Amino acid sequence: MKKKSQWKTVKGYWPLYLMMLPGLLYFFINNYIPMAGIVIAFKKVNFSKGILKSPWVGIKNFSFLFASRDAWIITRNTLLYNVAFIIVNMVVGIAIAILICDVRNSKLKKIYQSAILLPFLMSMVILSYIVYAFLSTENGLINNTILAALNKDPVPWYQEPKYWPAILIFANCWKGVGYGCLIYIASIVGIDPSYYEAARLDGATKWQEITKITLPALIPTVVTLLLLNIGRIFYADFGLFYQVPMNSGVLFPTTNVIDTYVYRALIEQGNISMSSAAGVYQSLIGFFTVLLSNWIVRRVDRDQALF
Amino acid sequence: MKKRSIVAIIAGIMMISAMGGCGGNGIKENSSAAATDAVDGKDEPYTVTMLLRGEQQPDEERIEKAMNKILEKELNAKIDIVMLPWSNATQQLQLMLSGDEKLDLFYATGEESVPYVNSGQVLDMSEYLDKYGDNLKEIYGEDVMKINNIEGYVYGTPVQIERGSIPAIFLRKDILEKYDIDVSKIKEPKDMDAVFEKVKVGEPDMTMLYSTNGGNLAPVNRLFGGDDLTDHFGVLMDPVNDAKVENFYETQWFKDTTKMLYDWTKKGYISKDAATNPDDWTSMMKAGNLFSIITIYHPGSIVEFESTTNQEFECITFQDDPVITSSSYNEIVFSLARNSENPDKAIEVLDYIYGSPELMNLLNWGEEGTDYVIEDKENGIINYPEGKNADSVGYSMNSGWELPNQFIAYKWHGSEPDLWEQLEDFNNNAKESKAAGFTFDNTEYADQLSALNNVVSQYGGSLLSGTGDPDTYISKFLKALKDAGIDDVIDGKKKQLDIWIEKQK
Amino acid sequence: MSNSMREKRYQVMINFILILITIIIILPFLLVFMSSITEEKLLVRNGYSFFPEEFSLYAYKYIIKQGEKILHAYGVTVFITIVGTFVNLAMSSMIAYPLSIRTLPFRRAITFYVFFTMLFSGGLVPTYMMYVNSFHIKNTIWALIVPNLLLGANNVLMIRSYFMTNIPSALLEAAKIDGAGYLKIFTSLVLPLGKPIMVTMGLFSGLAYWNDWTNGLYYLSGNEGQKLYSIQNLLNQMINDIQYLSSGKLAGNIGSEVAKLPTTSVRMAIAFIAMVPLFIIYPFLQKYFAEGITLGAVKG
Repeated sequence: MKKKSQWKTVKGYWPLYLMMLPGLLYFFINNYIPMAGIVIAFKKVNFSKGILKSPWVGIKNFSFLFASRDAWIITRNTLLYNVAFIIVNMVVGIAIAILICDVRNSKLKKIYQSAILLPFLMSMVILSYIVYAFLSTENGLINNTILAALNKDPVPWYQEPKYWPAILIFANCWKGVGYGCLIYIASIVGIDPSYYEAARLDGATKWQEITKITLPALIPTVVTLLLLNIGRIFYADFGLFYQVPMNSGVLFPTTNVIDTYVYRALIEQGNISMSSAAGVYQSLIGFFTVLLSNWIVRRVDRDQALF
Repeated sequence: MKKRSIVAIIAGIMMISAMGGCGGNGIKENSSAAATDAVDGKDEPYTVTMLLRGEQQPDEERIEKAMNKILEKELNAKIDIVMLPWSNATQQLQLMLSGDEKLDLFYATGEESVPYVNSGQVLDMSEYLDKYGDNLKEIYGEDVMKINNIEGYVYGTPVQIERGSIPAIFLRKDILEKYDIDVSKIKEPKDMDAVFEKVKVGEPDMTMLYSTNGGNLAPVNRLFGGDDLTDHFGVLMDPVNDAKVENFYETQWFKDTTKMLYDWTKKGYISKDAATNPDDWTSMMKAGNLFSIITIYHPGSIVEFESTTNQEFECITFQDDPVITSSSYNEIVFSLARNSENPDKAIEVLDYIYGSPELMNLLNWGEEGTDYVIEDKENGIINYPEGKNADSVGYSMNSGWELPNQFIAYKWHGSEPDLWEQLEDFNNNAKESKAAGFTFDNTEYADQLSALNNVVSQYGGSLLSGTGDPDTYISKFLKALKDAGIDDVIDGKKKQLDIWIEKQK
Repeated sequence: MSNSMREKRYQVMINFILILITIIIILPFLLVFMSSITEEKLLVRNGYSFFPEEFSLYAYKYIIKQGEKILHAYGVTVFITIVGTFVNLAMSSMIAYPLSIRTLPFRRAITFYVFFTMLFSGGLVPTYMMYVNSFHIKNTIWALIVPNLLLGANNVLMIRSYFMTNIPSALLEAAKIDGAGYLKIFTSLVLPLGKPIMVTMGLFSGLAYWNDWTNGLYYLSGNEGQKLYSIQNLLNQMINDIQYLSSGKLAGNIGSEVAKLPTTSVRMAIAFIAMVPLFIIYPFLQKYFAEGITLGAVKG
């Protein structure tokens, strides 16, 4: 029977299981044991009684997430931004990766590869100051130099919600594209060069090389990255949405996301049960989304699925 | 299938270890200390762990030794000071109160305290204060000693600082002289209009008035002379005479003040970037870029301002006497953590510090001779010893405002000789709000407050700083507040306040 | 020949685009540096500028005074980065390799077990309570290395994906037929061929350690904790201390030092100092990266 033979072969694979043991143990300690703390989201925690003995309150801690009319806005914003981030970073990352791999001059190549990693060194806080340097109404570089040169009126950037989706998508791309890009480069490098030689002999154009060889070869990497990101689809980068817009209330219609809403809601209340509930809510949605996506990918090509 | 059974096994193991790890009886870090404490505390001195916030002092151990000499003799106790840097303090405090680490005393602001009470993280100090609070009783009297309570559950003792505040405006002296401005003509905020106009003409690049979008330095908040009942949702407009709880944002005063400020923004007196500027006012003052700031006045403010900005100031107050509001006693309170293993001893030590100039001076200034020398014995003024300065001295906390009783300690060089007397007079002359000492229990309103806080962040910022047009924003703001449930909160406050006032009679 | 001309034109075009992109990337860093050496008063009045009218090294002078602490903090950061990254890569690849073998029993379940950690979390308080109360790591160097950064599902799954796609199974089959055990295949075939992804993930893991400030925030406190500050923690603390000093809460005349504190430019200088070592180290790392890339290109 299937069960018996599986266990039999396990014996053959024992060195592999041994290799995985330290890491799996770490996950158990670092991630799974604290996971029991999820119960905090369903209790009214009183530390004198201890977490275990605190009373259960069911889903009462979740109500604040849906109580206000902002609930729809923050959900919409979180989702839309994440979708945009995924798409933009993927397209730009792949494009840059392809370009870099084709550069002949090795010195220049090194420079480009270093450059795309640089943004990781800058924290969101510093980035928000830089953005402010560009967009501040009275002293900003854009208002004072570019717009002045074009003879246009200064724009109060921090008071106009409509510009911010573009600004935030650009900022996020600037900061994060290096990650995917470097991974794509590693993948492209792994493509057998004989494919390209054969294609060139057949007279293929550059564009054909990219679309017929490079892109298809990148699909596994893209799918993996995609599936990994989808699990976080209800999470937003707090630094990006809170610091960069300088916590400007006027911009909330386009910059308020679930994470910032929760922060503002709870910062004066210090309610651990409610913040835990928010986390559970975000995780649950991501969980079901990723299960669904993985199932779809599995239908198309079993090998590509995460699990 | 296989997946499910593995998940089940994992879940089982999780649960079992969680029982062991998460229960309130986790392995205590200080097991060795607990073992050495004899049951009656007479054999081994108990170490009281006190959390303070500030810069880590290099010679902290030396000071603890000196303090322990006194404490061991008098109370058979020791003290361990743990300094939390500003960057970590609130976060670490919350974490430490959730776990089982050794912690006895710490201080928090009144707002921070309410959640601590509701999640059982601080102990009720009443009976301990009755037993050991002799110094506290002397300083405050029995009532005020226990004034920080929610339905009798005392969560903290007040520290000796200024109580109540007076809305005021601080103006740069040199500019006043340059433009020959007569400050005696300024009685109300509105009168500043003419002054700003005159100065702006001569200093087109200078910002006239500092503004920001929330918190203590937002002009609207600072000019408000009433009792904000902690969160500005439902306030007392005339706290000394009237206990009527109103919607702050609906009042005529709010409309008029925001209009005035918006007018100033349009005229360029307030920076258009006020709502988003990350620079603090001291940087702007130091750079010479700022003319005035609206903030609160209490004895010693002028010296504080001048020492941090290198400018001289003239201060004009908009109110005659300070008002003691509901938050005047719980701005900084010393609380007893539930982690404390010997609450009796902890309170004993705390009370002792309230009454001991030696300990207060050690805590705040260090050891005489090494860390400071007495400059003016009569007035209790001290300074660095020869050859030492802020960077080379081994211990100098200089945060009297966060310690139990700074009024019995020395004053630093540059303070006015009778500063403590001034402050005591200031406090004694203050008029009491009908809600002084009242703490609003907001647990029932968590949902509304979450939504309300977001509404205030969204609309409040531009209104509080004066950069938003009241005509467009106020109606939207009020509607959003109503939708978020401000009326529930106000009703709740009314009820609680009425009951509390009855109890005081 | 027309082919090589097309090639040349192509090269010029892509280099042009990439140089543009590099400039866009570098501009913010330049601004940070320029504002750190701008005279404070001008910064506050006129905002940041690429061409400051007046220079001042005061911010750096102020920071250098804390010299010893900064060097020590760098030391701590370098240590935890090297140790953490090494262990991270080791554990990640040791899970990724077995999971890349399609015939491994329970493969799907174990992958799910790993992936699930990315989706759900107990939150800060349970994690803190476990590490501090049960494992006693507070105020030890382990507090900076172990929580959250020592191993991540992200790295594991990315490496696994790379092993599965870029290491031809024919090669592995051949090795097995030759009698090589799994461990031997891992060390002599998989790791060398997987160098590009290992170097990449190592880079990201290293950066995560270098930039991390939350572990220090939660697990280090008081006098003992201070000794273990990473550079991010130290710089964070300096900024907060400066802000506090400038807030005026301190009593009396603390001397004109405070009045001279250039808060804005110091903030920028501090940020710059955190990044500088990486600017310096990166060219050396580049060597390994290039090696990895070319090695991957030479198959078989």
